[in-house]
Amino acid sequence: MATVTLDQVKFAWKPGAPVIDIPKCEIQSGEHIFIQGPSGSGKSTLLNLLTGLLLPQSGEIKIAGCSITSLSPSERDRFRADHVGFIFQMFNLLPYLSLRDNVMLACRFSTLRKQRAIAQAGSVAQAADQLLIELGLEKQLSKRLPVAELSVGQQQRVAVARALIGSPDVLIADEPTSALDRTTRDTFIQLLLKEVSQRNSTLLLVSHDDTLSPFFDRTLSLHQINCAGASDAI
Amino acid sequence: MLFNLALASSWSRRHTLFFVVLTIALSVALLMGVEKIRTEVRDSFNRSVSGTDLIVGARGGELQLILYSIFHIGQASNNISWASFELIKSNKNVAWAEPISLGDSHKGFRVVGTSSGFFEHYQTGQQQPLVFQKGMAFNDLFDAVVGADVARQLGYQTGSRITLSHGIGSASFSEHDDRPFSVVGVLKSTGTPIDQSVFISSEAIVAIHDGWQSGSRIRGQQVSIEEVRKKVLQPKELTAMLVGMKSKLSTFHLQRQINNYKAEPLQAVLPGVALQQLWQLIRVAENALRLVSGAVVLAGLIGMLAVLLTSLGARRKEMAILRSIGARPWHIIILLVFESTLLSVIGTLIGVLLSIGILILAKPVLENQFGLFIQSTGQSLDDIPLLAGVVLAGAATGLWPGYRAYQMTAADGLTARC
Repeated sequence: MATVTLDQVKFAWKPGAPVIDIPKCEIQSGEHIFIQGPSGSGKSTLLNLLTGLLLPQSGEIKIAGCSITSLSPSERDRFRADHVGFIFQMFNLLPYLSLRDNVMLACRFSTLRKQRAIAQAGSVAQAADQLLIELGLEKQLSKRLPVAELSVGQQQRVAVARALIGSPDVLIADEPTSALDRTTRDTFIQLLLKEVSQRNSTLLLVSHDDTLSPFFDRTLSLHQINCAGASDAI
Repeated sequence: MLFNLALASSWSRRHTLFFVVLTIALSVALLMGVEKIRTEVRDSFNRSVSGTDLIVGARGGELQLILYSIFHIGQASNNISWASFELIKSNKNVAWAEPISLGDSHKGFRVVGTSSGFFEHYQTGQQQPLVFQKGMAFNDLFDAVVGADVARQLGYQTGSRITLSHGIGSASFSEHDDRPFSVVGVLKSTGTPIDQSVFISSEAIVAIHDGWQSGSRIRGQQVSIEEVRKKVLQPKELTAMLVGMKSKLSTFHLQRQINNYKAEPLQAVLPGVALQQLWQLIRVAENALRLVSGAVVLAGLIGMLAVLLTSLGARRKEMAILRSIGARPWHIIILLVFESTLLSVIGTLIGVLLSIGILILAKPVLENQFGLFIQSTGQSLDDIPLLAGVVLAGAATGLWPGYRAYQMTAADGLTARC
C-alpha cells in the first residue's frame, strides 16, 4: 500500500513559473526513499508541500491514506504533528531545553504520538530516554549535557529521536548529513535506517549528495519526477 | 505546556529581557510614584485643617495666607496687630480665636507661638481634635509642646530641655540659648504639619525676643530669666489667627467685615475656598505629571516591542522547529504574547515594589522639605485598574511581534536555514 502519493501536483510561487510539477509519484509503506536533487531543483518547495506547509495550486497529496491537500491549514498542522517526523539540515534542537525535553517536544503537539509513546515505553520521558540510548546518547543523557555542548552529529541523532518518538508514519529528512564528515555521515545514516526499519516507518531523505543512494531501497531523482525543474535548474 | 516552553525560551534570553523588565519597572515606578504623590498631596492638604472657619492674616494672597499659617510653607509678608486680634476675638459671633506667631525654629522645625486654647480648638482630618500622647498643654512661660515627629526624630520626652533658634531653617546662627524651654507635652501623630511643630505660648515668643532688636541681640543687655518673668509680656503683633464661629451663617459677614476693616489691612479666608484655589493651581501640574509618566510607560512598552521584534530574527529557527512538530500559527503568536505579558507582569510588580521603596526613602525628605505627609507608602487598590491597564497594554504589545513571527514562519516554512 502506498504511504505517500503525489498525483498531478503543481506548485508555482509566481503564475507561469512552476517550481513543482509532479504527475505521479508513489512511495510504499516502509520504503526508504532517497530523493536526490541539486539546490534549486525545488527540494525545499517539495518538502513544504509534503509537510502541508504549502498547498499546491492543483493536484492531490496523500499521506497515510489521508488527502492532506483537502485539509484546512490547522488540520494540516495537526496531521503533521501526528504523522510526520521532520529532521532539519542542522540546528534541530531548542538550545534552552534539555536533550530529553527536545525529544519529548514532538509529543506536545500530538496526542496520538503521546499515546503511542506511552503505550510503547510507559511514559513519554521513558520513550525519549529509550530512543536516546538506542541512538548512542546514553552518556550525554545521564550527564544532562546542555544541547549546545553536543557535536553536530550528536545533535542530529537527537533530532532523529524526536522525529521517531511516538512512531509517526513518515519520516522526512532535509539534507540531514550535509554538516557531517564522511565517517560520521555513514554511521548516522546506518543508525537512522536501523531505527526506521525497527518501527516500520517510511523514510524520505532529500539530499544533493548522490553518494548516499546505495544505502536506500530506491532513489528518485527530482529531475526525473519533477517536470517543472528540468528546464531551469541551477 | 506551551507556557513552560515560553518560560524556558524567555529564561534563555534573560540577559536581554532583564533590561526590558527594568525599563518597564522604572516607568511603572514613576507612574505609581506620581499617582501616589498626587493623591497624598490632596489628602495631606485636605487633612491639615478642619473645624476652623476663618483664617485671618495680613492682606495678601489668599493662598499665601493658608500656606504659611497652616502648612508652614513660605513666610508671612506682614504681621497683624494684637489689637486687631483682640477686636476679632471679642466679636459676638466668634466662638474662639487662637493666635499664631511664627518666625522661630528649633533644629529645622517651626516654632508656633499660640495660646493653650489652640490644643482644644484646632482640628485635623475629619474633625479630629489634637490628642496628647504624653503630658499636657503648656502652662508655664517656658513650657513647650512638641509634635509627634519632632519628639520621635529628636528623641524628646516630657521633661526634655530645648532651646530655640531665631529665624527659620536648620542652620540658624542666632540662638535663643539664654531662654531654655522644657517639654511638657507631646502630641499624637496627625499626619499634618502639626507633627513638625514646636508650640510655645505667645508670651514666650515675646520673652525670648526681649532684649533683641531687628533679629539680633542688643549688645550689653543681659536680662535674666527671673527678670523676664516679672515683665509684662503682652505681645504686640502676631502672624495670623484662626477663628471658630458660633454659627456658620455669620462666617461670611465677619469675613466681609475683616476684609473691609479700615484701621489695618487684614484679610480673612475660608480654608475650604483657599484649598480650592490650591487645587486649581495644582491640577495643571498634576496633569502634566500624569502625561509625562504615561509617556514614560509608553516608551517602556515601545522598548519592549523593539526588543521582541529584534529577537525574532534570532528566533526564526526556533519557530521553524515548532512548526515542524505541528505547532499551529496561533501557538507562535501565543508564545510571543505570553512573553510580553510575562515581562509586563514582572516589570509592573518590580515597579510597584520599587515605588514603595523609593517612597519609604523619600518620605522624610518630603515631610521636612515640602511639608508633604505620606500616610501610607503602600499602593492603594485604586491603582489596580491603572496597573492592569499597563499589563494589558504590555500583553497587547506582543501581538505585533507575534503576527510578524507568524508571517515569517509562513514564508520560511520548514526551510529556514539560519
